[in-house]
Amino acid sequence: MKTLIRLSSLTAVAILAAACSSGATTAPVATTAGMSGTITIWEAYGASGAAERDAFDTMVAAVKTDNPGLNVTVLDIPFSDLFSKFETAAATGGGPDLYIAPNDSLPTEARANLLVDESSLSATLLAAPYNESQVSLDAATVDGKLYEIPESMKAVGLFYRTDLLPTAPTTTDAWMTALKAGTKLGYVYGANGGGSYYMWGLYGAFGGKILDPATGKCAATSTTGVADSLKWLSDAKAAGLVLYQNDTDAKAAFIKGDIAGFIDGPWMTGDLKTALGAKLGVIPGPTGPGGPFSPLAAPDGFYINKASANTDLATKFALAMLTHEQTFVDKAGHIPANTTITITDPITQGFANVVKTGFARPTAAELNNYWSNFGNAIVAVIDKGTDPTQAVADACTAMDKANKK
Amino acid sequence: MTTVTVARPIPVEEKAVRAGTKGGRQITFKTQILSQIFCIAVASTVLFPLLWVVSMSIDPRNIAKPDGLNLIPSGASLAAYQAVIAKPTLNPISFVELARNSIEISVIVALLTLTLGSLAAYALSRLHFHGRQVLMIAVLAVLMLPAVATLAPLYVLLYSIKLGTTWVLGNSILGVAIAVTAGTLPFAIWNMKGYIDTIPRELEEAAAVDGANKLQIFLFIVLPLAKPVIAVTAFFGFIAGWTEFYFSWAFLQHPADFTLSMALKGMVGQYGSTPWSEFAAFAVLVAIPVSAVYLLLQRYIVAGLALGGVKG
Amino acid sequence: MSVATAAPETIAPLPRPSWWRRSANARTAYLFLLPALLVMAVITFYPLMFQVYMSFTDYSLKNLAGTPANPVGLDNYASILNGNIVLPNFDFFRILTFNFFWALTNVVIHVSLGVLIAVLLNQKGLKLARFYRAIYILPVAIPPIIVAAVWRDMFDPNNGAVNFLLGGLTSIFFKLPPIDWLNNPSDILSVGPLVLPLAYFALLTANIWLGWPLNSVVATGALQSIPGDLYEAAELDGANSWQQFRHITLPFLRPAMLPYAIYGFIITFNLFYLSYFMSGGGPFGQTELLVTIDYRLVQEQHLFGIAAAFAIFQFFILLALTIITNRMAKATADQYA
Repeated sequence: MKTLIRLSSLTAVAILAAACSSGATTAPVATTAGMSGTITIWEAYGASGAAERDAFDTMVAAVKTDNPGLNVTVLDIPFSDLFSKFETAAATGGGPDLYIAPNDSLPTEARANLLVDESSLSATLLAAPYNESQVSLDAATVDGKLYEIPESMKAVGLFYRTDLLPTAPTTTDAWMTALKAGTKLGYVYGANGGGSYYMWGLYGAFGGKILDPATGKCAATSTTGVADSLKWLSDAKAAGLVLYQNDTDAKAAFIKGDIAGFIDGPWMTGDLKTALGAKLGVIPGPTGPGGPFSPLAAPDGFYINKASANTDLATKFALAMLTHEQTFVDKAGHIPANTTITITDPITQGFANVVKTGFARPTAAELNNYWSNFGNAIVAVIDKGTDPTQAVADACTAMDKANKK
Repeated sequence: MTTVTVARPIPVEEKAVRAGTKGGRQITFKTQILSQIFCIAVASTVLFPLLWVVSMSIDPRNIAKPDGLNLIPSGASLAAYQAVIAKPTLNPISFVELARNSIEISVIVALLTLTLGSLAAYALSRLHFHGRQVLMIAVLAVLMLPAVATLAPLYVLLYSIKLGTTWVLGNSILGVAIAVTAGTLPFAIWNMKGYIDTIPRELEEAAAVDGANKLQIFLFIVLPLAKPVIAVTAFFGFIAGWTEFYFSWAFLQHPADFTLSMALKGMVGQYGSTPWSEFAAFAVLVAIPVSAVYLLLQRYIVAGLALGGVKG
Repeated sequence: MSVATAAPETIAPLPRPSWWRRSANARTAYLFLLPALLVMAVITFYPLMFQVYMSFTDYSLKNLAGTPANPVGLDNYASILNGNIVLPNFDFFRILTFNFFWALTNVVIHVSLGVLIAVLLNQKGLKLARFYRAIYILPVAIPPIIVAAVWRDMFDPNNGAVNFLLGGLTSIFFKLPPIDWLNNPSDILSVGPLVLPLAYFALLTANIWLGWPLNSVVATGALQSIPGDLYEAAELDGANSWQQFRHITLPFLRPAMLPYAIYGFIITFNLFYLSYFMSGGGPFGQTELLVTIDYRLVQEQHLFGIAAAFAIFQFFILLALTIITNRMAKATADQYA
């Protein structure tokens, strides 16, 4: 009975949205007005500085103004505890009605049956007023079903200082030339700081691939691309590339002027703009012999807790938040999943361009065993001087073993 | 049997009398100088990290991370303290409320551990019954298993206990306190039993002859004699509650129930962007109450660690 | 040994009392134990039994809500021994070896330092001894999570006090490159299954700072219980300082220090905070301990079945430790009692 009501109400939302989409693109209120009840939402913006949380609060306040009967409880959870806490709570029937976060844990949670299947919303989200990109929806889909309502996209690009680096290098060769000429550039590589996340873009530049989507097996040894990209990083280090264990240190060095550029994501934009103002620029990472720099692109978004008693209201609330996405874009530099939102800020626009060459983050379960194994390979090549081909082969074997392939 | 006193911890009163019985003759001037140099060197290694934290917490420049060794910063500022007290977390809970919850958990843990532990310790030390040995080994074995391992079953168990429609034991300060007590109780029993073992039995036997029952003997004779170990047990229980973040982060879902340790854990997390000065200020604020109590109770605590108790 | 003296019934040689009278002592005992046992049965022994059950199943997130998990026999145990689990860098025997080595080296250093400093402070006529004692106790009074976080920051390659200090001390001779204490991936020592990265030494440093003071306090207590006339007599016999230490001080210290060393060994064996917060178990999982693996299996991977099997291994390892150390303590007690 409950599911029936939910389905019918979702259909109602879809119909309303479809009705709206035929008209003007700026009539969002119709779908979400008149919500009442209490919603609990978790977020983890405490880890990333003030700008995101401020924007988030502004949006929640706006939704509440539109819906006087709605009561929203926001809970900030440390990012390192967020997924774990949600998973334990939701699996025992507790937790918030929904949470907003990157989609690191989406495949795990979807397969553990903790999230509401939102597949029926797909058409709504693609249409006005939401106008979400197909890429964002693809990366929110697990085993053919949509389990996340995308909000914005994240991918890494090259931050550079226009005062220190008037023309930023765009290819791997140009990077090497610049480094040899004494230009200081930075890269995050440490196992604990997510090195295997930052490296992903370079795989594309050298024509490498990690996962065979058909079999779920490691594909990094099928071409020399992945090993080549590690070798390039190692050579670049020898030429003067500065490598960091975590991006907080890279950020500090960049603001100080010790490096003229480094690879990082839009979550840094707020703090960097505050510190550097107009001296800040963003372009995609270096294009290589195998193709463009193709970093993992994945949507941050809303996840509706299947154990919640208010799944309808939670879904409506998420949609209402999306109608205020402009705030996230303007205040916190989010790259909207909504393709029609105007981006005035050049940095945010820079990242929107980065996302275009991004690699939609796979939701295959096998990716879970990519991170640490290839993180090891990167550290082994950079710090221990292990042969890249050997390191990649070892990582591949370990990954397949853990995946029982 | 007669010289058994050597192996047991010496109660405070006794120790005070004996203090000053040092070996050998007065040290020479040369030894004095060398010893002083060594002692100062040791003292500086002990103090170095502590000074560093305090100096970070009062650094007036409000930078994310220190850029040099600056043990005595020029121009101290309490801005970091003001910042963390004004807004300890992004959640709607004040510093005072966080502290109150921390105290609640700590006091409940201390009381539960003390009450349950002292009764059990007394029985294990003084009364003889079938299965005593087995029970002692069981308590010891449980003591060795880290609390981490019991999270999943405890979670399910505590969340299955509900009162009315909204109150769930697992999602409450009491629930967390009970989970923490599961970890503190075995050590408390073991340590208190070890201590009670060292208390001479003559008084109890005399009281028994006078017709006192076991409960009266326990309450009016054993407990007063076990003061040091009671202080230790209460203190360790309090510390366990005060520093606990593991069960709290897994269990609690209402920000109104959050504690100081949870806030601190949030700052320590791998992806945290808290400026080090604010972390340092918060750390000092969280550490000071327990450090102060520890230093005040120091003599009792040392005497109350009934280390002979390993004998089982 | 003292069993007979405690039971008051045996004092009165009256006609054989009834069963009810005879069991009075046991009944009181159970009454005293009841509250603690009830609570422990529910919050300690029940989770323990539940662990045993989970260890033979594929218990995961899906089962938390109540659906029964599928039995998998001994698979979980086999996967752990084969290193065939999702956790990266997992090698059961390497981690176990490291865990033992970690606890052992720490305790040996803690006890030696503790005794050395206690003896030094106990010298007759040493000025400021009370002042030093008050300072030396400070590390014990700091909550462990703060100790771990502060030492992590201390060992930071770019902003940490340790490198600032070393850099300052060596700056007259050469410019010290920043040392990445906690993440440097090179092995400092590698013998069989024992691999020690630089991070081990950083963790060791932090734990020495944390661990020796309490040892020193316990040693001081034991030292002060030594009758002064023993030394005077030894001196009359012409014994030098070392002989006095060897034949008077050490025999008195042993019974007090050994139980404490055993206790310290177990505490250090299970020390979660430093490994988890300082090095994060890195590099390559070389500073993981059994207890941090447990945490990762439960909190990060939600592999409750494997975590339970892992905890059972841990339980037996610790049980063996308990029994061995118990014997050792008893042996010492007998020797001096």
